[in-house]
Amino acid sequence: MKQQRLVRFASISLVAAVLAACAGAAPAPAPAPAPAATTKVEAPKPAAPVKLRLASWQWEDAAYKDFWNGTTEDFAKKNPNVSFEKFSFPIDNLWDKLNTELAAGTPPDLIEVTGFNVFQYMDQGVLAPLNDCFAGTDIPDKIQDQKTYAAKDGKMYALNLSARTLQLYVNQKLFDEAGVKVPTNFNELRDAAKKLTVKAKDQYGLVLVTVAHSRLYEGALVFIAGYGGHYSKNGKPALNSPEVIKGVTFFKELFDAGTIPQGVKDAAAQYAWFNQGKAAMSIDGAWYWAVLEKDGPAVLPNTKIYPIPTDTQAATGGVNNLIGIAAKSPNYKVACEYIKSLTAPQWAQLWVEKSRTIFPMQGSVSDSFVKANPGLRSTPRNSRRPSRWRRPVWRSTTTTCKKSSTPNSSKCFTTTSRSSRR
Amino acid sequence: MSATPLRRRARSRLTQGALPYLLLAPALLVIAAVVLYPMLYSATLSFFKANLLNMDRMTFVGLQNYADVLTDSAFWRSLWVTIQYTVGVVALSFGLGLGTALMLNVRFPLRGLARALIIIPWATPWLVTTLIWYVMFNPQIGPINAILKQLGLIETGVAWLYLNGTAMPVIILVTAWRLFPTTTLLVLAALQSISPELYEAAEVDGAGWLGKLRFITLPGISATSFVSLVLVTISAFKLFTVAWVMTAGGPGDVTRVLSVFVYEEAFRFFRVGPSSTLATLLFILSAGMVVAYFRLLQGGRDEPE
Repeated sequence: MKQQRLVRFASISLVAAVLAACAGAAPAPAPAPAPAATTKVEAPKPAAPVKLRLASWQWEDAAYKDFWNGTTEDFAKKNPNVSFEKFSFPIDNLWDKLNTELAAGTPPDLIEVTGFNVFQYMDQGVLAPLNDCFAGTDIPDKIQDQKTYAAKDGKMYALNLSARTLQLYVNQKLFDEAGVKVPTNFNELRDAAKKLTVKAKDQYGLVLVTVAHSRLYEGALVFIAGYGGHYSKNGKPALNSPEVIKGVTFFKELFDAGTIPQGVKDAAAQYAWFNQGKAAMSIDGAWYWAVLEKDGPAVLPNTKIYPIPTDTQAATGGVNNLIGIAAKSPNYKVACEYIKSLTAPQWAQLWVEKSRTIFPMQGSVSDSFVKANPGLRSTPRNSRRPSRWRRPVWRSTTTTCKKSSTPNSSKCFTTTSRSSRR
Repeated sequence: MSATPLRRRARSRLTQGALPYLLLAPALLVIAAVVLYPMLYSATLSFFKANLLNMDRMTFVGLQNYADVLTDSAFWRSLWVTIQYTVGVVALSFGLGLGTALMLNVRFPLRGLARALIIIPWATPWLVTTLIWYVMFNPQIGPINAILKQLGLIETGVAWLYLNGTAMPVIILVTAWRLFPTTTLLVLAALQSISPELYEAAEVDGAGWLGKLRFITLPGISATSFVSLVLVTISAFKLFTVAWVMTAGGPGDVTRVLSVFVYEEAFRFFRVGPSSTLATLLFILSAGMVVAYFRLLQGGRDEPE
């Protein structure tokens, strides 16, 4: 008898469990009848609540979190029906999570992307065109390269948020101690790197990422561009071009000579070598200054920024961070309003001031920022060939930006970077 | 009205027969949901051309993905890397496991503590183990380089994980370190089940240490050792964590084992079809090993005594 009861109990429990699992959410109870209206004037309907999911690896990043928290809080304050949900993971993990959500058909509404993956997302229809969103605004005109970068067949797919440039960071103290001059071309770079490599002190002349990583290809591109080449030419791969072979060979030569440490696997590893005074030179972006302030205070006073010491001194870089709306987002209109709000000068300036990367819009670099950051003004003074630089793309933004030093050229910004990413 | 005794007996028999299935049902449901369904779904996807970023645009391609994968030199290269890795792991972990089991079977002070400590690698999660070793092999801050420098064996930090010649041995070492306690525990249990009288009799007959090992110990642990070998082989063959975390399949494709290949196809290149095909082939190969294991085990049991 007991066994029969047990079986009955188990059967009923199982059936109940299966039914409970299979059942969807319980239907909402029917709304209670509204009380009779006391006046004939109807109150305006409150906007339906909207929760925007925003995917970014920068939510917890010291250089960017003020921007994302500030812009979302401000937008939610102005639009009480809107709230934000952070889709926040470190960049190495973010893409897997995001791609899984895309595969499941439930992507976040807003997706921050990089110059490395925006084109894949465009091609696969992940991002919605923003032309309707930007219609009637001056955004396509006031944001640098907005109409050409992350655009296809006349459709814009993401808002450009920042520009990426690389420059030479030098530990002047190590140079002075070794009696070495800061290099300005390939030969001088090779010689300086050799002289500044002191294996007994575990010190290297130059640090670059040397393991399969986007930075490895970017590092090689620095030398390839230095020989006047690129990975692609006229939209076609040019990996066998003489310039590419020369650039890669030069990189390998530096590596084989032991002037670059082995196993530098990512940006953090590259930072560590220079931050600790174990590398005399590093090639990195403008944001690295903020990293040095935080993690390399001992090295910071001796750090100087110079143009990249190749024969052409050509800069690499381009649009770096962008934000778009998922094609499957049911909240396109609200997400669009949020994206438009990002182009307000206050947010553009906050982006620049916190991250030290350029928001590619007129007015993004304030006078006070340039005055407060003399380090960024040092390059023109130290530049040996300032006349060769072309006008930085954001130079036209404010008069103070002319003091800004990042070595970039409008040509490089608009063409080199785009072809490098495609 | 009460049921007749015949009816009652029939119902009782029915309920007795159904009880095991009912008790198993919750576990089976979970397995079906989280193992069987994804497996079947993956196998289905292997017949389609699909991009992970846009699964709405799937095209049926029949066996094309299988033809593509099986004619792709990268697949055969990855399979060869997987075999190298598996053989290396099995040999090293079995050697370590057998050696430690034989040592722990001998009486010595603090043997109980040593037996407990030997389980630590096995009890540590894969990711934790891998990350610890990852730091230990770091060219800049890793203690292994620091010790070798102190000993004067190297001049500067060696990037063990990023050199063609050292990456594979390192991941084999880490995997074997994590897996060898399985062999130790199994073999130790087998050693303890060997009757001491056999050793006493052998001693009376004049057998030495080597003779006892050859004619008593090894035959006594052979069945267990075989089980251990199979378990370690299957574990190593499909392992993803170590190769991915430590080397991400690099440098180049030196450590790109099949599981890393599957992941890269899906999440780096978004090619769901080939990725699912590779996953299905990996499953078939693993399943083949399990079948072979059961066959061999069954064959051993059926042998006349």
